[in-house]
Amino acid sequence: MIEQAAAPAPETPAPPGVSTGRPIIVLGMSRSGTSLVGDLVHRWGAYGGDVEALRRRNPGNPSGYFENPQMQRFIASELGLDFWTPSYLNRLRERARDPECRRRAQELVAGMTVQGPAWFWKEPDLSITLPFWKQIWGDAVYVIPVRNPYDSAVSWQKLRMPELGGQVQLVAAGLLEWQYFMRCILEEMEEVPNKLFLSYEELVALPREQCKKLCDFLDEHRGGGLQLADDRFERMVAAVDPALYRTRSSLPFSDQPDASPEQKGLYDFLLRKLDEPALEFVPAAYPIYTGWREYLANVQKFRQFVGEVVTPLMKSPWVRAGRFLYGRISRVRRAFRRKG
Amino acid sequence: MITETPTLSSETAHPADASIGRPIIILGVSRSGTSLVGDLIHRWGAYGGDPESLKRGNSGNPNGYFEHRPMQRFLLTQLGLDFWTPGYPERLCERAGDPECRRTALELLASMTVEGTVWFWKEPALSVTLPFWKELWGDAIYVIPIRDPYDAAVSWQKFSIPAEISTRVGVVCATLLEWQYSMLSILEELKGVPDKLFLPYEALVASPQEHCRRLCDFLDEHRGGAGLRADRLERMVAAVDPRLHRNSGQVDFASRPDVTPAQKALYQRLLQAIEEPDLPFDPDCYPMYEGWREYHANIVFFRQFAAQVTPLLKSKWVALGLLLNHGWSRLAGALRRGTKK
Repeated sequence: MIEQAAAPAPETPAPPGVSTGRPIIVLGMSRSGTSLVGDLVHRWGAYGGDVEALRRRNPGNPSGYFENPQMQRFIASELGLDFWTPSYLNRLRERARDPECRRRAQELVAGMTVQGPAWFWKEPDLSITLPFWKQIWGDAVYVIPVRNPYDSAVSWQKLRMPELGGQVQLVAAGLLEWQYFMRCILEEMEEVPNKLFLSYEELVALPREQCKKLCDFLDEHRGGGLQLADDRFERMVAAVDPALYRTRSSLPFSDQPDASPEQKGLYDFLLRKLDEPALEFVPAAYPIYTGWREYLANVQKFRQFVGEVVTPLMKSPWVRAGRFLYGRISRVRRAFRRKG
Repeated sequence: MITETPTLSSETAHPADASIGRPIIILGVSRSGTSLVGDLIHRWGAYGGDPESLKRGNSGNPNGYFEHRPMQRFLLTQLGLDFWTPGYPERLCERAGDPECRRTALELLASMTVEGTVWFWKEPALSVTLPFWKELWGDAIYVIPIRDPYDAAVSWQKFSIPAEISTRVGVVCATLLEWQYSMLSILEELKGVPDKLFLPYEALVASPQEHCRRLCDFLDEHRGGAGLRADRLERMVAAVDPRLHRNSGQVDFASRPDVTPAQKALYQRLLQAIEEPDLPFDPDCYPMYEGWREYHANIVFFRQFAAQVTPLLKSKWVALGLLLNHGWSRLAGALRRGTKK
């Protein structure tokens, strides 16, 4: 359980001899505005990796995901994404102690400083792997968009298992994932001084005001000595496209019947964090449904079964050829039987 | 939510057609000892349908399930078993008001009295369809075995998940949600019902003489022992085979980390009901996890999907396609190597 996690010292210094800069890290659950914030931080002037890769997009995010593929590969291959496994947090701590794994992570981080010391990473899975990364990058600046979790969960559901065309509802599963992610973030951010919680809805409704807030925060904490573009603020404002705010529920989150009282309480707490980021977080006040690991593990296994076994097999031209041939053979057999 | 269920009066009058007798109904979730209690009531002397059909068993229940097939068919076709659907309790009330559905159900109930008026039904799905049945059978006698819900859930996992995926897929928490919903439904519907017996499964297996005596006395008192076999108690005791108590966890239910506080409290409440069956019941004290409907619907969907797709994946034409693919890959590899040389 997350409550039992021994959090590493929040002020872990950067490893000696390794140039990590002081990264800007965008945290949060998928579909909560992290890509938009990634775009804003990129337009402010931070380096996020190859621009083409950052802007790789699909209908889910037409302006791009702003994710660094090398970092994503590292997380998937070196840390794993099965955060619902009971031993996951221990594994992260073990990986942070493993010299070879540390070296590769430090190289990855050092590689981000090639364009100057101001760089950023945006990736939802950073939220749940912080016990590892905080040991690597030391002191960092964090930006956390806060969006109505029901809207995020509905949006997340649309992108999961598209093969099944909406036959599977995953809103409650999405809310569990959101709750776990936000608890991880809040716990790991408890002693971190430089963090900004940014309302996604307000960002879309009042882009100038909220971009100013973000721009000022970044200028203050990462701007010293940097050659930043004078028009960075205008470029940031221009990135906010209200047309992309496509999923919004008519009910306030506090009235959603399939959100738990603890999830509602956690969202209230996050809204307070927008103005009071130093507010103390007490994880025990927001317990997660005790069967969450089983539910999320089953969703993942089913997605793998559909996405990796059933769909490719059914789409394979060889399997289609086999089906065709088998049909022909069966017809010939039946014809022979009738004659016999 | 179960708390929003429009409950029917617990003092529902006898149905107009008195020919259905006063049934003995066994409630509870699968793997909680309902089949054993079915066997005991059968041996006590109540009629449950064709004995051959009742005793049809498998590795999950070697001594039989003691379930009445026509009643199960009725449940499936007339009421549906998708209790996780938000409008399910309302659907049950509607079906109870439908003249054709009522007539079919009353005929089914009347058919149980062919061997006399003492009869029983055992079927876990009766627990979630009580708002319908209580309208029809009126005053009945209820027996509810109480077993450690975690043990029942682990047992269900063993027998319901195919062996090839049972180590990778867990449904214990999903089963605990079903248990919680079923038990809340039972406690809500049995409020004010005078003749009910909560029977501890573990104690029944450990002390069969004592608990069979308790059940026998209860049935004698409420359904009459006159005309029944004198050796019925011995026959009941002989049915209890401790070897069939195969899933006995070493951890106390209250210490399980994947059980919700509400589920732990509900189990405590059920243990109290063994001694005090008329203890007041407030469902608000045992709230379900808000996402339970979605999780349960998904588990059912995943199972159905896997059951439909697995035979396809094992079909001969898929095997032929894979063979062609394999052959082509080998041929292409050989050609590439040949070109390089």
